[in-house]
Amino acid sequence: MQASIRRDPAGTHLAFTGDLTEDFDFNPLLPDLTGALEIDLAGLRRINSAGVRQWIRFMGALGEGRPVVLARCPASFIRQAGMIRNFLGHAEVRSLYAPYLCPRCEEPRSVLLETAALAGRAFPEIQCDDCAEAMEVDVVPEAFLGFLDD
Amino acid sequence: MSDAPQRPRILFLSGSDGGYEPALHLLRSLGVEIAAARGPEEALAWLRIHRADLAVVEIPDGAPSPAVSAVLEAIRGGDWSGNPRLLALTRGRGVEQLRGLFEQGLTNFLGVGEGGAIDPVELTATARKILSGDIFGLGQYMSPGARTLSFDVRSSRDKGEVVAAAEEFAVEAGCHRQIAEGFATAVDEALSNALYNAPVGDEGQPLYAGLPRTVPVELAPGSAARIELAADGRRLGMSSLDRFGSLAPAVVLDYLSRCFARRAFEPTEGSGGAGLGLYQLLHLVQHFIVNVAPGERTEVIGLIEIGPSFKRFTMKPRSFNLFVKEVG
Repeated sequence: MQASIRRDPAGTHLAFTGDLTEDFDFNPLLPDLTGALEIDLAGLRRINSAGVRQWIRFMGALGEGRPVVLARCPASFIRQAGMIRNFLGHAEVRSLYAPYLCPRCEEPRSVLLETAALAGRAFPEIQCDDCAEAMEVDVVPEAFLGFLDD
Repeated sequence: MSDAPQRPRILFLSGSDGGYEPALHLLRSLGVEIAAARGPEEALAWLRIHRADLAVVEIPDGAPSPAVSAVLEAIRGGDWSGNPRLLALTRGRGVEQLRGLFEQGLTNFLGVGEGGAIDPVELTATARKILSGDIFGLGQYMSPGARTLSFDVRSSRDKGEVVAAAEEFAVEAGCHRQIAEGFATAVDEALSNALYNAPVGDEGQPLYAGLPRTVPVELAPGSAARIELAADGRRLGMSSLDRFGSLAPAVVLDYLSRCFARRAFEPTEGSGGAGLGLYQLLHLVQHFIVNVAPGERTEVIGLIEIGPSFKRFTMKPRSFNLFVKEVG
């Protein structure tokens, strides 16, 4: 996994790409993460159990006193948040990629959604780019959004 | 009196009518005798008179009714002819149905799909393993002609290459991209377990379990972990075999039931880490099998139905088997 950091008046923006495993060490990043923090996870792929432990430790090290926002979370990350209660720490999930599947041509698609719009557990209707069929949400909504209850 | 060997006999207790006939037909064609009981009392009455090698008991809603619980207890604790082992058929959806089953101490259960459908291959392979004691091998779950790929792994430095190959194998087999990533992670977890948690010394002491996974380890020649991947068009499977047999069955059940109970993990290394790895594995595959020959070898098998839908993958009822081979 690789990390990149950018700063602007609103705070620090951190982005990850690759697999979250035992090979990534978050500690060298910590001194540079000052103020409000937004973490962009769009490039994140697989997460193994050692990566889960690293992530939980990282969330703990960020502390409770500052706002931490998670943006563009991939489905693999959201599923971990549903499986493991303390996975998100005190961070807020601002947006996530929801998996859709076309029932006709079986084409998958990840659609970026704002978490605030999913409070009612209702996913927006999306049309397939290839055949214009109404796509189906390819997750069990109550399980996928279970992290909202924690 | 005849000297002919007795045919294996299965007592089948189901409260419903549907779905099982194709699987039962397949079992009969393999020479297995099947006695069907329609209720708990009928099952126990039958066991008092007849020998059974295996009792297959349907559990309708993820947790047994008091009457079915009584049958499970009676079968496990009773002195029955044939000393029948127990296989539960469980209805329900996804992984959460497993929680009550682990709490019941059940070690062998197969998920039953919508309409009562059960996978005939998984049922017959499971029954055959229980009846014959021949518990090892991914091939028991695959159709003839399945494509396979295997790796002997001695160094943790090779793990990344094997995991990447597993993901590519799953994609080529026709898996949904996210399921393929999950399959690769399942291989990652099982191989990490084989490289770090399984190795023990002559006195049974763990060699590497306390090490951070960032510290490379190298197994001795002859102790390599073996990863096998297989796909037969319908099913995708992985097997991770170690040469130590150190994973205690009671520990597996304890880890899994504790993971379900708390769903929160402290970021520490050690036993909590192994538990989290098993918990992840259980979510990443649809049928999770642990075969143990104590002191000799442990095999972890994960099976996935190949398909385009992630929702369908998550909704399929999960199956779990823990087989222990008697050694010596």
